[in-house]
Amino acid sequence: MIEPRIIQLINKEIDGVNTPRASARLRTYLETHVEAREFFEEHVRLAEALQKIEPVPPPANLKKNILNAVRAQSQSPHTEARLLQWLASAIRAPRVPRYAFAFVAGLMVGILLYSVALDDLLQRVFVDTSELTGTVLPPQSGRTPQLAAKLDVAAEGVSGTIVVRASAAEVRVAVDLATDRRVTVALDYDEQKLVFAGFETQKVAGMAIISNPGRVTFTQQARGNYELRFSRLSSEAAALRFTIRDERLLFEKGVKIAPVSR
Amino acid sequence: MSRSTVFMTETRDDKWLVRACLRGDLDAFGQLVERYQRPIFNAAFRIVGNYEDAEDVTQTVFVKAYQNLAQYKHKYKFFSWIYRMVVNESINFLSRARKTTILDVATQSPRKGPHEQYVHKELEERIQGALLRLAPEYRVLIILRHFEELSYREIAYILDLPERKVKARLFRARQMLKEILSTKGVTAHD
Repeated sequence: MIEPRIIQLINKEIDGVNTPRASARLRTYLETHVEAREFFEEHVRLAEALQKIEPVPPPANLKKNILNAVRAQSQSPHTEARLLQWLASAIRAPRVPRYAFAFVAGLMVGILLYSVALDDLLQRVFVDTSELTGTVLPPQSGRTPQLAAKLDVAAEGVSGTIVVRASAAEVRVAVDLATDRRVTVALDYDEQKLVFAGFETQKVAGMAIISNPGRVTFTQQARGNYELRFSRLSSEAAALRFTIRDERLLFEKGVKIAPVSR
Repeated sequence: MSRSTVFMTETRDDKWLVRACLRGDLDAFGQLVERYQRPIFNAAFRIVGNYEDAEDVTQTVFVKAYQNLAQYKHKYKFFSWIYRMVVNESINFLSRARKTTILDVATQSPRKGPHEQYVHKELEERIQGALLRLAPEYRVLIILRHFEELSYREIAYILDLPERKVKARLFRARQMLKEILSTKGVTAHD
């Protein structure tokens, strides 16, 4: 009969959670107790056999089926579910909180109507840029930008195009890249001649744009499609330099934008 | 001015993806599915013992996870949270299917297909058959510890049990599995 504490030690040894001291004590005990040693060896063999079991690959279309099922649910299940839960709790609440809920609800409706009527309040609503799609730009001015340069990107794991258009007032850089890994795209520019004015993008999960004077950096994974806009500070020629990196430099190219003839 | 301006944040961990999902970003949820479909499917497969049923269970788990993301508490790992769901869903599935008796290993094998190579290995068949002879509450412990390599603490969270109970049941489960394999005339090193 093996003592329960030895069985404990043996199981914990299998799981690799014994302290070195406990492990050493167990090993010493096993040297002189045959039954316990056999028990230990059987458990080791069992653990080794279980470890040999290979994982089973899931069905190839499992992810697609899951996402289809999720899409078939409500459009914004979380917002709606939370709202429903809130309403349910308000209805079930005792009298005083119920009146408080009604007051707050009425106040919120009033504020909403006020803001819609005025329109001004809407313009000051904080925009969560993490969900931003569309355009964040100042009003456009000047003629339609003309093609200044087109770069074809064909590097390891990265492909696409960078198209530069320029007018007297602005420079637009349209980036359309497909990558098989996370990369960082940097655009260096002369801050004496250009100022970063904004960007337009499709929503891309896991993307960041960081603007420093003279450099705009963005990271992306998979497909990324965005346009960066710069305002021209002078009519002189302006240089842009593009680099794409993961841990290594994958792509580097410079572009010169012609001076503006006024 | 030399201060950086960040227009969007970039992270790739589970918590960021969950927050993106809660904002309605289905791509972010797709990334979570991509990340965890394999271990979740395998956990379901080992518990329910059938490939097609495991597929149904896995799909149900992910859909429920999406629906209940607002209830996910960030102090726990996301994968522990979703593992808890697959364990509960798998056990519920077995209860609904009233699979209280274990069929022979041959009938538990999935229908012939590209995956039969995985189940038709001899030792794997025997062990899977023995696993299916364990009561679900013990089977789950073997699966979480030996296949998913989770710690006692993680298993305790998933099963909502104290750690000491996890250890006691796991040690008992091993003993039972060993006995089943011996009864079938199989030792683990065959």
